[in-house]
Amino acid sequence: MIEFAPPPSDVKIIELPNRTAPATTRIARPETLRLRSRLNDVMARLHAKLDDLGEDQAVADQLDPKATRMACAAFKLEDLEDSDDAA
Amino acid sequence: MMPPDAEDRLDAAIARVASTLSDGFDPANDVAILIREAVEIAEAFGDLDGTEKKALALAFLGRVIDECFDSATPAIEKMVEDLDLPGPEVLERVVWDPLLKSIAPKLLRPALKASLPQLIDLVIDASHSMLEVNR
Repeated sequence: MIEFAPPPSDVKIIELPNRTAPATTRIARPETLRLRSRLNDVMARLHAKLDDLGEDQAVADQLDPKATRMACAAFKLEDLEDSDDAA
Repeated sequence: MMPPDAEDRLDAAIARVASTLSDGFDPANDVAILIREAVEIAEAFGDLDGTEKKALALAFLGRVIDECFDSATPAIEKMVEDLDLPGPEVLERVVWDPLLKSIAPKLLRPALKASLPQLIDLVIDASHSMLEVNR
């Protein structure tokens, strides 16, 4: 059986990379980061606009003629005026 | 750096996208509007070159479609119900319609996203008067 002598102390041992180690994280290029930042900005603005429209839609629903007819059927203006007087 | 009127241009384009999506996403009617506005949004960024603008427009459309696709369900189901499928109506109602309603979104979403680069090129060509179409 052949026995290998231990390396002399002045020999630098090079460690090979571990092939089973997971791939290193991809580093995004500056251009990609810039585009991603622009995209996030545009999407944030779009979400804000959609939120505004959601509120507008709620107001529009209140002004909807059908909702107005239902409100008229449910309450009489005179009744509401009387209740104000009573209060 | 954005050109002086770019902020208004960007804001107006985003407002049009929001208005288009406010009642849900209808793939048949909304995609053309979204593509047009995506190009407009990308154009507002004056410091981007052509490749970057196209990438931004595509990324924006992809993100919007991913976020809104669930709201396309009623429109897709209506498309399926309007189809004239083989066999008697009862077979259509009991077998084909439920089957297609579950499959159609899975087919439509990637197909839609895959067609976007060519459609953006078409919009850019049209805006540069590179299409010869007799009206």
